[in-house]
Amino acid sequence: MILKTFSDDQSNPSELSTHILLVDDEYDLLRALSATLTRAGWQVTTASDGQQALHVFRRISPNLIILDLMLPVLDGWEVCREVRKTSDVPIIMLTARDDSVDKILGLELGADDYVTKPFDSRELIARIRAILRRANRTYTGTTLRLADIEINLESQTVSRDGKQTVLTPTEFDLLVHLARHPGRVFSREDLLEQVWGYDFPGDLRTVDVHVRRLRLKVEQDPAHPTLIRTRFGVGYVLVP
Amino acid sequence: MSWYHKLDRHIPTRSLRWQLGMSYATLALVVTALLTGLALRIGSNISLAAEQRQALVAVSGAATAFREALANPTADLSQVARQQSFASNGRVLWLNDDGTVRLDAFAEAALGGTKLDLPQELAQPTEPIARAYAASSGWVIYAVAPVSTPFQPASLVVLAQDISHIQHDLAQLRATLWLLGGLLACGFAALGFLYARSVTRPLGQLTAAVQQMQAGNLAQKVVPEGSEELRQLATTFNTMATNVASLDEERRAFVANAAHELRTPLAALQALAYEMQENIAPQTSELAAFVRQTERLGRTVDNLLTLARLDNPDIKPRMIPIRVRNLLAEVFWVMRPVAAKRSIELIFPDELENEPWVLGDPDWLHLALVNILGNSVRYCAPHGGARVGVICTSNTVAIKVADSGPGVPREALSELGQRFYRVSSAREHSSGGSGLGLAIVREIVELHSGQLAFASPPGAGLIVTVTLATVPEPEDEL
Repeated sequence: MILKTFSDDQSNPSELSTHILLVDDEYDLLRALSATLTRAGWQVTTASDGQQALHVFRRISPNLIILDLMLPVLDGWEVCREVRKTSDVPIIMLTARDDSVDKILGLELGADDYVTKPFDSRELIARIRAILRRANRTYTGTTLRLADIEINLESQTVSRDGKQTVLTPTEFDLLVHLARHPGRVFSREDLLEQVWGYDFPGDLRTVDVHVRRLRLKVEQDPAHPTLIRTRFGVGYVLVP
Repeated sequence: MSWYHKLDRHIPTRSLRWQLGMSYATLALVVTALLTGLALRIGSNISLAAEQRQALVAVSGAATAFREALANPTADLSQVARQQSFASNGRVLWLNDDGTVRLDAFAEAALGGTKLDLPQELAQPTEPIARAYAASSGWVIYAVAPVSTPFQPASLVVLAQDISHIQHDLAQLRATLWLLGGLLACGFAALGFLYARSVTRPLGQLTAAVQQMQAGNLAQKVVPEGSEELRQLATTFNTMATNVASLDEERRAFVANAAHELRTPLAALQALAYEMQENIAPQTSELAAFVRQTERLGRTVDNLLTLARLDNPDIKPRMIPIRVRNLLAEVFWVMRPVAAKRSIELIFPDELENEPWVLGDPDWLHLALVNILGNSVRYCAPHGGARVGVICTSNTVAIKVADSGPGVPREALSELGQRFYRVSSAREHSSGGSGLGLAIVREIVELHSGQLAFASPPGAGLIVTVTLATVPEPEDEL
């Protein structure tokens, strides 16, 4: 097994500690992208199949994973599932099959974002920055309470009826953002800008899928949500 | 439009059902006419013969009575005439040999003394004769018989009988027969319709299936029924439909797979191009062109995939109520940065008193409007603009996108929205369009049963109008 670690002497030392695991089976893409990401200031380790990806993940504990879906040995779905068993590291999915995007995200695999091939490298960098910014976000205050849900801002955990519910960082941020503005209707673009921190237009379905996943975890009856409601054609609102 | 065409539009006079029904009815009517004619002829012959026989008997009796009366000098001849009239239910006249009336039983309208102009065949009878005539007042029978006695000059008795009751009876018979014939014709027409329906029902199903195929729903199957020929046709059609559907599915799958397969190397190409552009100094215009073309190829592949998905007959748009203003806000959110790069202003529609809502798939409608605005942005010169207007009627909403671009020649308007159509290939290539954007818009609008219209008034740019049915604002949220 050959592991390549691309590093660059001119990289920003403050971000050198940020380690990205890049998984794709296309060597040319891997090489170009890791060069680009390295120059953007991150330390990049690559893997070219699912098994290798899991192995590297366990060894280096990256701060972010960029994961292609169609991988030899173990595919991206399985890698994602394995990683989520032990970690809430942010994951960006790369896919050449946009018709299964809903399925990917709907499967509750816990990816934080997805990018459809081919993609603009500038946009990928912007997304990585936004996700890393969110991953390092800290909250002031102690707890927020909504009906039977308790949001602990210090430990970034959520519990319902005293039982802890595991949320990914994105889901947690989304819930806190809605909970801090109860009754206010947020459009999907509002949420992408304010929660995801995108200063560029992203895929609005990302928001829908995350709301759906969040409902599965915090609603009593996810099919008939009472907490996070849909205002048809307008957006989402939290009704405490 | 002539009356015939108007009629033709309402009643399909050339339909098999109509034709068969009418043929049956016509046949029934012709048969009725023939039978009625025959029945009337036979009926009248029989009745007339009977009447004539009776008249002969009556006139012979009258002649005998007159002969006896003439032999008896005390007899009252007019009494005899009245008696005979009464007995024969007719008018008895006693005439001289030359036709002069000597005695008339009907004293009130007596013809006494006048010369009666009898028909030739009755004028000189040697034995009793009866003949029927059609007079202006109705049918009559004239019966004559010679009265010859040894002492008197030859004379004759005429009996005139009104037989218009036969005419009346025959008229009634005719009416009855025609009524029966009419009913029979209606019955036959209905029978013809029913029979024709048993033939045309399978044909109708086949036609509907072909129309469905024409509309793009290629998976069609009809139940083989009806006559042997029709069953054969249905089976053949089913085989053909299956073949066509599988061919279409293969074509769609091929496009989708090809696009997927293209995406992976494209992604590598694009990443490499970006990396080269960032890393290689000095920048060359060739490298910039390479990046631009790679991006364009990526967009074309995306569009092809989108079209392949829209072509999928199984596609089910998620129909939810959407506030048009919000839909547009999301589109503007995506398009404003793109437009700003080219210094193009996008103008958002003014607030309306009653904001319209439509039922649709937010993602598809979003894509359609992004494509329309993207088209405008692409063709506007820098510092130009595109204005979006929302016009409501009682149950529709028209979303109008008007740009300050060069517009489209009138003859090209109808071609817009066709796959790979370009108004001017030279201009389109430099603009980086794929020729698929408006085709996607068309497919999406059709998926929502809406209307897409293009207009390009002289001196103005292109105006694209999407018209959708509105729905009432939903009362409660999910």
